[in-house]
Amino acid sequence: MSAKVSTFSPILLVVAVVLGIGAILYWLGLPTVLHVPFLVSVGYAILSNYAAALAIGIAVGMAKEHQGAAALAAFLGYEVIIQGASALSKSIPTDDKSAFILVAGLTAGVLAGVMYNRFYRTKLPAWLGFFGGRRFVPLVTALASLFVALILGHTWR
Amino acid sequence: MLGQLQRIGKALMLPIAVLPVAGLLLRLGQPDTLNIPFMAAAGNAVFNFLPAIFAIGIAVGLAKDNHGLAGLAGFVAFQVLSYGSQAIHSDNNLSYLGAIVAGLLTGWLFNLFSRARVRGLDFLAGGRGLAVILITLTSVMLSLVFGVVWPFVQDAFNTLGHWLAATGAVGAGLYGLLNRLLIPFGLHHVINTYIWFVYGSYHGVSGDLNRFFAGDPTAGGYMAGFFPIMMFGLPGAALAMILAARPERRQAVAGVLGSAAFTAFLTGVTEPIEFAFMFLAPLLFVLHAVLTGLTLMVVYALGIRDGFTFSAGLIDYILNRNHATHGWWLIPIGLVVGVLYFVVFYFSIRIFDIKTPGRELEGAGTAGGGFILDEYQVGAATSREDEENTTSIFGRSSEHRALEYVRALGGAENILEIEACTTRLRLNVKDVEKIDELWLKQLGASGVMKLNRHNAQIVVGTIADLLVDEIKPLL
Repeated sequence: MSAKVSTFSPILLVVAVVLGIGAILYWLGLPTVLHVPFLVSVGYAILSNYAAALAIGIAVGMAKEHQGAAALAAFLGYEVIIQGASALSKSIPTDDKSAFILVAGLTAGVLAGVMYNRFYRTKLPAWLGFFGGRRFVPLVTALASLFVALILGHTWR
Repeated sequence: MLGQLQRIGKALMLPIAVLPVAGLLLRLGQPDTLNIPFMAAAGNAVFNFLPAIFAIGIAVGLAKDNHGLAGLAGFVAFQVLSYGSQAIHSDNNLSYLGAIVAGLLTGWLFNLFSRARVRGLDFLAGGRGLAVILITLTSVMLSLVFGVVWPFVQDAFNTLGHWLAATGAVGAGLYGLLNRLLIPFGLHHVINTYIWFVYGSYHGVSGDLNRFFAGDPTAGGYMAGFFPIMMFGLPGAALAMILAARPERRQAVAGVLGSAAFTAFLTGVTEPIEFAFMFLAPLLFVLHAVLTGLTLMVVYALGIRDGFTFSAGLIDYILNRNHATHGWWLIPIGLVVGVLYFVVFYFSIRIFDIKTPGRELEGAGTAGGGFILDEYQVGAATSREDEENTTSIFGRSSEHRALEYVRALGGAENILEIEACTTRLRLNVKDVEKIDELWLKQLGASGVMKLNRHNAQIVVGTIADLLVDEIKPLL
């Protein structure tokens, strides 16, 4: 099956190509090129979310059988890290050009990938059964991200 | 059509499973509980970015094998559609509706495109990588359409919202009725999504659930009435079923339904109880839907407002008690509803001799939950890698699952006819006694009904269609 062929790098390559498409659209729309504000907007939609896309790509690439629950967990972790840390320290820049969101994206991606492979088979007691299996992955990733936010919020300069 | 809608309902489960954690963080972080602002901020982040989480979750849920690249595509498609349509009409706010549309489109296109076998694309994760790229480009073009069409969509939903608000308690009652009637099909999540995340607006926040947690005093009318039903009504029904069971089966039934009742009371997950009788006694289920509708209507009319991030159980009740309006009223109302359910169920079962669990003819099994759970929780799925590393007969990939089912059904020679009916397998067999109930339960079936010597139905949940497709080639 293709699961054997596709491993980590092809997934990241897909992320790179998508970001490339965003960059091309953005460039095409610039006043000095075609001057189409719409293209700038859709290009910016992709480019400004590069760190989130990277987080998703890393998590999916790492996760067993590249399962989608890892993608959701990565995005969730990414936002929890950014919002949590910036609530702790007002000096953390969270605009799309800051290094902080790249760190948040990389951390959340790895975290979600590790968490998926560790917890996707979690069997919970019957009364919590709804959250068992792969659905448990976004939950533990969010909690782990909270700790990352706590650490980054106190140490980021 | 129905099958498609059911898949959407099931796809919504993954993002919905995230909500309670957001709710917990938000509530525990606030001043009246633990007062940890950064926790509240993290919880808030989840609420603010829920549309993107829905887009990812739905795309993944619909995609073949739940592949993660569909999640990436869903995320990108949602961002492109949002920014692109806003570039055309600055008032456009795609929010939840746009996210759901983006998720659906992505899931559908992903399955369509990823089937393409393009030589030389292995470096890009094969057809799936191509699918992500094509979805990105498609969403750029679609955002042009969205930009023009969305104002009309927004108007239509605003009109629907105003109409619903004007109906007041009656609207809440109708919603409650419809919500329960759709449970057997798993479609209640589709209307819930409109009510909880889209309906109404308050300081830039939309939906009964979101507005409730943003502090809108008028919100929560479509959630409050579920507390009496889930904490008291259905446990009352479970008690009635336990007492109505035959004495020699009562202990076994009490084990299953007792824990199901506790689950409903604590967390507000009610499907294990509902699935125990909905197929055995459809009329009783309709009665349950009517009672739910009436309860929502009465609670709404009394001006009681309360909310939940997951479901109407004790946990959400305690967490949100400070947000609620007249919330403590839900407890006495719940006690009345609980007694009402017990009386209605106990006497209906006795008078009409309904075959609820523990009252079946000899040899028939009891029904439990399983339908709403993730495959890994119930053990109905194992990843291919696990499959390779296991020698257990219960290690099942989807191919093996079908084979196991055939064996549990008495082998290929025992099966004369098999077809899927929403959540059930309908079987025509040579001899029902050859069907191994225990084995089927271990395979994830939640109910086995042997109707006569040749006909049986197995409740397997929404995988029914898929399973039959897998089983048929083996016959």
